[in-house]
Amino acid sequence: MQVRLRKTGAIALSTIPALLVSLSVAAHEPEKHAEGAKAPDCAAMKDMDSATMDKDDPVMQAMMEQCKGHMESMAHSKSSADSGQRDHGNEKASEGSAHDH
Amino acid sequence: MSIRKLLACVRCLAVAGLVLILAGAAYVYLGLYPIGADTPHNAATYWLLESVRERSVARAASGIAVPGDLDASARLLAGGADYNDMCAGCHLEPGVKESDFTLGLYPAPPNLAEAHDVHGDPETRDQRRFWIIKHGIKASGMPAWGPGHDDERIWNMVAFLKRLPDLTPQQYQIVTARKDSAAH
Ligand code: HEC
Repeated sequence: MQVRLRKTGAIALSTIPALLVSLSVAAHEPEKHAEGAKAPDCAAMKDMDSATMDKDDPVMQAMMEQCKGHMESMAHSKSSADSGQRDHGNEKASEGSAHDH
Repeated sequence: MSIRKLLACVRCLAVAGLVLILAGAAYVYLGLYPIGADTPHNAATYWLLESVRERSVARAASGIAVPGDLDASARLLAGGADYNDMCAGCHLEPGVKESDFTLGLYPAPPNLAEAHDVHGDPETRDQRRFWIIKHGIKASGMPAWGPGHDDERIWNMVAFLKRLPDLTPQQYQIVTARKDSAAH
């Protein structure tokens, strides 16, 4: 019985220092620094499957928000090629002049 | 059991305990513990650390009130840009399978761009993520972001994490890019 206890104790007593040692190691990993902020690649939106674009989807709304200016100019230049984009672009198309920023 | 036998037993246990404490101290001070991040924990240590982490986070996070508007697109935009700047190096992004951090950190940062088994219901998962982002996890590469970021900013990242596994690389790029203010 004592032998068995000793074994259990040995496991506990070798695990606890190991735990303490591992807990005390502060990890100061250098973060990967953000590369210079990139503009949204709005041209890629024209390649997206318009069937999967749901205007009520927050992700879609977020992308449209990011690409507001682009969607206007795209509606002018690509309208015949991509009807899915036209929907979004036309809302603003009446404002006229496609201003590239 | 006679008193004498009992006493002998207690004394024997005390001696055994002392020996084990000394053995533990020797283990530490002789530097026998393999501290390298490239030596995995044994099963017992792994279980212990994982249980300590999960039970601790579950208890601490259980009372947190989750905002009702986590699906707002404004949160995705704010949280996405922060995620890309501060987290993607460790937690990856759509189309990226590994980084120096995922290869070298131990414990390895989970790939948050991949759909994985959810921890409980969505509310529990959001609470858990908020708590971990705010407070970090000791002795892992996961920093506490609370000291430099207010709760709203952290909730924005929690909101973004909910949608991150759905994003294609192109969608990710557009949502997380920081528009320069001139574009407004
Ligand atoms: C230096 C690398 C590193 C950075 C940077 C980092 N994390 Fe982590 N993160 C980790 C590691 C490592 C873990 C796993 C910790 C563990 O298993 O004990 C983790 C765990 C997490 C978890 C828990 C995942 C789960 O489901 O178990 C979340 C959520 C998380 N991080 C979010 C973030 C967010 C958000 C950011 C950016 C603000 C971030 N992390 C930045 C390394 C990092």
